[in-house]
Amino acid sequence: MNEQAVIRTQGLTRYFGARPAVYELNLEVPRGGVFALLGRNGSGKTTTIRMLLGLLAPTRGGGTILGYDIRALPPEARARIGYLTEEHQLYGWMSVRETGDFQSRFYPAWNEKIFRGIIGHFGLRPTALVKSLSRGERAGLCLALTLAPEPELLILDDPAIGLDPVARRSLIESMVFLTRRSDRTIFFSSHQLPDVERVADYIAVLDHSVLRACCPLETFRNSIRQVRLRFPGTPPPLPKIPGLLQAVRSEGELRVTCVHYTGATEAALRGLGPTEMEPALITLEDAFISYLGDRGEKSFILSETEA
Amino acid sequence: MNLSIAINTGSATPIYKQITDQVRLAVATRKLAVGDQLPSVRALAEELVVNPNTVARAYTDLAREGLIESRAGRGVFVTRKRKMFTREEGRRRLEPLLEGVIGEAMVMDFTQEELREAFEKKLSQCQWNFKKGAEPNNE
Amino acid sequence: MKTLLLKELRENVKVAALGLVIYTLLLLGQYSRPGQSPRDLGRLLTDGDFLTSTTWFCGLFGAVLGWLQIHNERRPDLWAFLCHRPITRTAIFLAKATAGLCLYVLAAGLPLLGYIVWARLPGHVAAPFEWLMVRPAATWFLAGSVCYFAGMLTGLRQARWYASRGLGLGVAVIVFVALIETTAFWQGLAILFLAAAILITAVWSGFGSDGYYEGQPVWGKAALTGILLAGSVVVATAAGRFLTNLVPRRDTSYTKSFYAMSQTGAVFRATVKVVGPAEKMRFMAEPLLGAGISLVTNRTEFYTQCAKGTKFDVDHDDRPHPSAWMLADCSLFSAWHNTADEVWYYWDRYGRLVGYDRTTRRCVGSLGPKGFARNVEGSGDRFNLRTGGTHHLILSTATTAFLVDIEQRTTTPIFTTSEDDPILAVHEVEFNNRDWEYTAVVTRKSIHVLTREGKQVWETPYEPGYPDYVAIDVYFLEPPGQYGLMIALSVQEKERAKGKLPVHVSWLAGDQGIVRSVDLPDLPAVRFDSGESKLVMGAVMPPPLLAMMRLSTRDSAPEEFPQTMLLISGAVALLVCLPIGWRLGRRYRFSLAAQVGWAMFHLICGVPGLLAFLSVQEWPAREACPNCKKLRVVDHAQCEHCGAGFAPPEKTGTEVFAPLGAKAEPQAAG
Repeated sequence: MNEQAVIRTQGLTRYFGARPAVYELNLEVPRGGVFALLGRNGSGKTTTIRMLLGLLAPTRGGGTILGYDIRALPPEARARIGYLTEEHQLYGWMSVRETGDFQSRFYPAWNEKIFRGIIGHFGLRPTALVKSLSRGERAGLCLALTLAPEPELLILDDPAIGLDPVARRSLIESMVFLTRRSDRTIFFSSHQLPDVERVADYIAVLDHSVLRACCPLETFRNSIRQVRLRFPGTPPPLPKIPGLLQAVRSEGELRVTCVHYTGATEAALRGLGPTEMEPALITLEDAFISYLGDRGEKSFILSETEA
Repeated sequence: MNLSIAINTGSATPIYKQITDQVRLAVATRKLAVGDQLPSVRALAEELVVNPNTVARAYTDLAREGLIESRAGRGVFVTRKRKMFTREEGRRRLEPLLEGVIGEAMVMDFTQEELREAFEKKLSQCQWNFKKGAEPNNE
Repeated sequence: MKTLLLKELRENVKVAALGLVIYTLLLLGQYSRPGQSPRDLGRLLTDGDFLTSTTWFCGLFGAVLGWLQIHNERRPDLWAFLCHRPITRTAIFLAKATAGLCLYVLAAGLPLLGYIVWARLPGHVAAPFEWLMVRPAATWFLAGSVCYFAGMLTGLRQARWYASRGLGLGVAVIVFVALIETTAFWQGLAILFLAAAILITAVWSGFGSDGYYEGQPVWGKAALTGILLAGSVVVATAAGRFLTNLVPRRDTSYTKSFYAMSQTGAVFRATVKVVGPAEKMRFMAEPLLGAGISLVTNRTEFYTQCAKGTKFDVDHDDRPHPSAWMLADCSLFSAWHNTADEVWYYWDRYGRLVGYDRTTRRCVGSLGPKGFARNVEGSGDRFNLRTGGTHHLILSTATTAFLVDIEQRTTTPIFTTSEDDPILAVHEVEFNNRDWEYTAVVTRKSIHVLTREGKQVWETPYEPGYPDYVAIDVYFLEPPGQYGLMIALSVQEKERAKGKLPVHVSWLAGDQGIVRSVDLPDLPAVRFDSGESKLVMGAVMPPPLLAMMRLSTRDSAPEEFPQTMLLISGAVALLVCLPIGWRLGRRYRFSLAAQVGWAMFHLICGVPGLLAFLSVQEWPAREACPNCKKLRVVDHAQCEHCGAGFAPPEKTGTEVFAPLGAKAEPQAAG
């Protein structure tokens, strides 16, 4: 067993009714570094995280987290894993300080300075009741509770959801701060691509319950290329290109987005006889959207689209 | 250290490349002199709020270019520029930058004359550490 | 765990406080009911309404508290917050259960305790106090804890059919019904203990699997199945009753026959046949002995012809049946007689009459064989026998019968006998259900009839005697001075003898003694003809349950659960439930051990078992196998038909996989 993998899954599958929410997931998360799990809503990110933490039983398959079987996580495993849930759920009737006191009694390694630091950073009053906190303030409190025990592995399920930009920035700052220790790993799911771009070392992409990508961030970005071809008139129909994500045809222009742009791809495109062929620069967000968006060809040519 | 780097997410340029570009520009515009210390990887990462590995990679690339060097125990410093590129490579690198400037100016409805004027003005304004003449550098 | 315990206490203290207030108000409302206040009736702790309120409150509050404790945290992320911390699920369960039970005990126990203490203190209730009176209320209080765990289970269970989540409460229903049927306190405790043990097991195991069936250890699954079985039995019974109302059926009927004597001394055999729920009656009395009388078919006419007299059993005790210990009427003492200012009770513990002043509600003293005493025990003298009848003014020891005058607080002996011929029964002879003129006293050797004051009217040997022949009828015939006597077997002996032993009838005259006697054949016991309603009920009940019920009612009402019900139940279990269960097991690829286990379960538990089976299982989805194209369950990695695995995710050519830990190479510009 590779000691460097903090999370490892084998054929992890979960069905809800007749539909698989996560299908045959084989994932390995290396120790140290920041790992982002991306995917559209409903692609299985939260389900995966819940299974990893032993809160939901897999239909089949399994995995290990910090070397422990996910189906039977002992308390000592839970002491080393921090988990921030999507909904930032807490007990509304407790105050901020009481929540901190409550949580601290469970963890021998509780670091009160970190807790107070994050609380202060988010500007939370210790006597404020949790139910009176805003979404962002609750997120800050949850973050403080999760980071204070100084966990080895931090799992965050969509931590930035509902946060204002200032709170989101505080969140990423905390994540960057955490990377000071190289034995700490962060595993988080997110829709905030700018944040992912800032902090992630590796990403994995879930598409309709299936893993479609798992690589360093730059590899992903570099794998996706957009090429702009100019034609004198209507662009010709596109041949079959492996790795094609999207093609947009408009008057005089054909824009092709594809994965793994090889010499063969280039040759195929050149074979269409364009007057110009330019690889265009693409942002991470556009790359991601093309990757997970609708596949295929779109036409914006009047003569072809008018009924 | 009057190095101010600003990065954009959502840009077509990767973050590490934005860092290297801006460091390079700072050196070129004399904001950074030879021998100036750059912030440590960690410090810069926390300042920019990016993954330290990204900063590390930018620094690695700059070191490979010969622009900066890491001195054990002391930090990262700007070095005397050693020639790392052939003329051809250099020209190739310059090309898109020129295109960018010219393209922008055109969009903003500057005439060629106005652009040339601005360019000359900038050149004379800054203390360029340019080699005089057209001989290739032998260092 | 202590932290969690404190948190649970704090979180739910409001609910507990609300419960406390509600129960206190209920009790206060009970206590100060205008008119029929239980304190005036002297029945504080055994009052029917008090027990009903306690039962309902303890049951509902317990269930709601248990349910709320789980439900409040059931949102997935809050549950994750609770469970993802370095303690075991067992510790979480213990913390919750301990806190919940403490709160329950406080909310339900404090008002109850206050109520009991109030009743105990003299001057509040004009009645005796026995600590055993607390038993019914205490039992319902303890039963609430069973409801607590049932509520927890309901909140905890993840079930696809939402209705099946409530099946756990079926255990509570069964427990409550069973408690009422028990005949002793220890039986009630045993039932509660058993139910609580199974529920606690199921809840504890459920915590470990977050409420899902899969992922629990075998004993947890067994406990859960048992509980759902109980709930299914309740549902099946209710459905069965509902269905029987729909099925047109022959009405149940029963036939009863008895002997009676007319005023002239003639003996009738009367037969009553009651048909159906409308209680249509067919009445027939045929003359057997004596002249000048004819067949009577009109009931009222018959009763006018009957002689005055009384009938009683020597063993008869007008105290309520012991199995009613859970219900209102307490068997520890009974209301005896009320005067204008006082209330008098017969207190079993002391065998004396004890009186209480109505206004001060304090004990004024007691009456025993030796007379009045200021304290409750007197000098240890006690009665051991009470009269049957409505006036209750005669009490006796083994050797003497006393006429009691409550107003004067005196006891006058009216009849004495020797120690080797003890008094077995004393019964008032009332004419027209009102006028008490005579008293019948049965000793071991003879039967006496006395006037009210104790003057003997006649005496005759008690033959055939005790202990088998205990049903005695005494008749006063016309003209006066003639008497009739009938002695018959007790109901149990009648069954055992199967009609072989006769009924002994004698005629007596004045002081001449027996003039004539005759033996008549015994009459059959009450006969039930059951209708088809039993068939439907038979189909929906599990065979062992029916067998148990048949065994328990064999003596009293053997026709209530006929053999046919048992056969039908067994047939349904074998031919319907077992095949269905087997098929489903095959379809969803149960292990062999599981198949066999469930097969036995279906055989034993019938329709409710099948219901429980369907509710408890989580059925995995089925998909077409990529290899052999047949349907296969998705929770096994190997196909059951061809052994193939599942297809890996389809490749679309857009996958990007690269080894992690290697940094991407810097790309050329552009």
